[in-house]
Amino acid sequence: MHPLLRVEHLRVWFPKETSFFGAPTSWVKAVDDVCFELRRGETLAIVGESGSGKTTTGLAVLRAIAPREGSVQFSPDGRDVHELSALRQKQIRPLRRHMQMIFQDPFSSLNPRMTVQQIVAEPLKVNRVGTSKERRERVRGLLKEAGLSAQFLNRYPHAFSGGQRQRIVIARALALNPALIVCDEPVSALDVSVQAQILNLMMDLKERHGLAYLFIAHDLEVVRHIADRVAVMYAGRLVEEGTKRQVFDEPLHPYTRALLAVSPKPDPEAEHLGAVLHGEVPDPSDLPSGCVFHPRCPEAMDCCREVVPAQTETQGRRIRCLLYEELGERG
Amino acid sequence: MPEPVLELRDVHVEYNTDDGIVHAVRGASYEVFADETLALVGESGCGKSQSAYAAMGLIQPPGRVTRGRILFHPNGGGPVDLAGLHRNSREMRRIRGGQVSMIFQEPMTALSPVHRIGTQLDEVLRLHTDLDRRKRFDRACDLLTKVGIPDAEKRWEQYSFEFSGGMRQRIMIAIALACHPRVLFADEPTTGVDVTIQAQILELIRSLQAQTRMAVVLITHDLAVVAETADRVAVMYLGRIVELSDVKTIFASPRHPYTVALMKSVIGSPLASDGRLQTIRGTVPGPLERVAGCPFHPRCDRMIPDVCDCVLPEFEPVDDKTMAACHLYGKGDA
Repeated sequence: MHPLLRVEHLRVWFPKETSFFGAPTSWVKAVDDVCFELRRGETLAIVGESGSGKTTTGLAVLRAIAPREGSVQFSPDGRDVHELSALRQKQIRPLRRHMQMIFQDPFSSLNPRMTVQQIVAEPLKVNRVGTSKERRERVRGLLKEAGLSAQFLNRYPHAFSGGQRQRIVIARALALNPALIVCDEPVSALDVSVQAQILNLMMDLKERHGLAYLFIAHDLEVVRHIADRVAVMYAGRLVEEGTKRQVFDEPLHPYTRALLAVSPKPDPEAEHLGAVLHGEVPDPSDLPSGCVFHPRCPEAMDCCREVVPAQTETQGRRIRCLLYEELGERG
Repeated sequence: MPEPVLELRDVHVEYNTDDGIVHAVRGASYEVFADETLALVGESGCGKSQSAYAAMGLIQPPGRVTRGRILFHPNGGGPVDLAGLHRNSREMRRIRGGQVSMIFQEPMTALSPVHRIGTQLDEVLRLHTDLDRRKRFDRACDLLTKVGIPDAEKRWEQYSFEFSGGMRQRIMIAIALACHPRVLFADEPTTGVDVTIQAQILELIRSLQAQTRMAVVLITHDLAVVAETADRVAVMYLGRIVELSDVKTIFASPRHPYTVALMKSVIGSPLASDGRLQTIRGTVPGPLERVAGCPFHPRCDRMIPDVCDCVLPEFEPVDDKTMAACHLYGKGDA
């Protein structure tokens, strides 16, 4: 069976400067040569610092922005495979009901002039699902699933707290029974106790509906809790991808290791490595030569400055680092 | 027992709004000692930042400190009650930014976009020291270098928007520490910055604290940061401290039901489970709502009827390590 999503050599470049005739002469390489797969019912977390290209990857997968190169194969039922990068927006539209999005900030992702009923029913209406009475019933069911009382149906978003708003966003995302939900930092704007409620809800819904999440986050503890597989991005490149256990327990890439070492753990008895990764994420319009991580890498070799490491596959994980290049085959 | 550097005693902050009085801080009491880090934790709206603003004399009308004392013990000389000083008084201005200082959450809004970084650093030195211009410039460059900004002399001339988020936070720290404060309030100093930068900033605060022995009050909602940096932790709920203990005790054996629930809902903490996370039922009451008795009782699993919903629990020692405000541990009728 074809995986739900197969992304190959995805590149999203934005023109930075253009020549007199309008042809781009330099680029901001927001996402560069990213490959991954997402299977049905699985959660793949994309982690990385700000500017690493994780949100852009999510948007490019949904064709909310057009990739410059690469292929995005989407197969909602496992039989028909749609090459999203080859389709026009109009052709993608019927597929859109299978892919939804949950945004970070529930204060800006809900229209303040629409009632909860209108917000949650909108995807149904756009896709001409059911009569208006059926839709009303469906909205009630969706709200219940998202843990909201139906008495809120005619209220406006301003009457809700952050956690409740995120529940409305989730109900809206579920309306069309999607196969894939791209979640962009869905809990990072919420207080911890509310965060736990939303994560529980998302895990229940995944279980019940066999959803696949592309879960974009920077909080490694959240990712450790919710993800099946983890992809680590740095400066637009995917540096390591594997199962949660592989990435958290035996990280290979020096960046993954550094990231894990500097992330604080909510346990005063935990071992504090006291490690500090020096420097900052590079400017995506002016990336270092060779491996993009080499200026900050504690294990950088001379060749890292010149050779761009390829993404290699070993033991079901992908890695992009010269230290491991001989382990797998170039691919 | 060493003397605390700063003591808050039953501090109340109220905001007079059109809809009624918002009681942002309802009797906060804590103290902080030299060379220690006290973390103030709690969910948004619990009054943790407001208690710091009260100590900094930064509560603006329609808000005011209505009750309580904020005792600051300066180097030599008797204690000063900051709550009794007007926010624009000469004494307050001499202390604020000098001996009691603060790092704000958003360096982009806390720094002026129309003044050079150097000018903003110079301002603190001009107000709080009697160094001449030349010496102040040297000192400013020194500070910038110390917080990890290379090329200080060139960077002095630049504006805040020419720096990255992490660099801006470093500049804020340089400004806050310019006059060797005895107390530093760090209000969510690393919220919104990346983990690698967060580690750098926390390490910087730690090393500067080791050099100057300042007391740090770290205000945050991130319990992972607390576990890593704090010596003692005060948990706030609805404007009150509900539990205060040392960091190891509070993570391993919290006493107040709110702290217990909070710890269980944090992924990766010693009390959290692997599967479903425990959550606290209900939501934080709105700012204008008044809850009789213990403010947490409507959400508490161990609520004692006719006690918790009627009587406000005293904040008192539970054992030799922990103070808590909860009837479960009270000596009275509970």
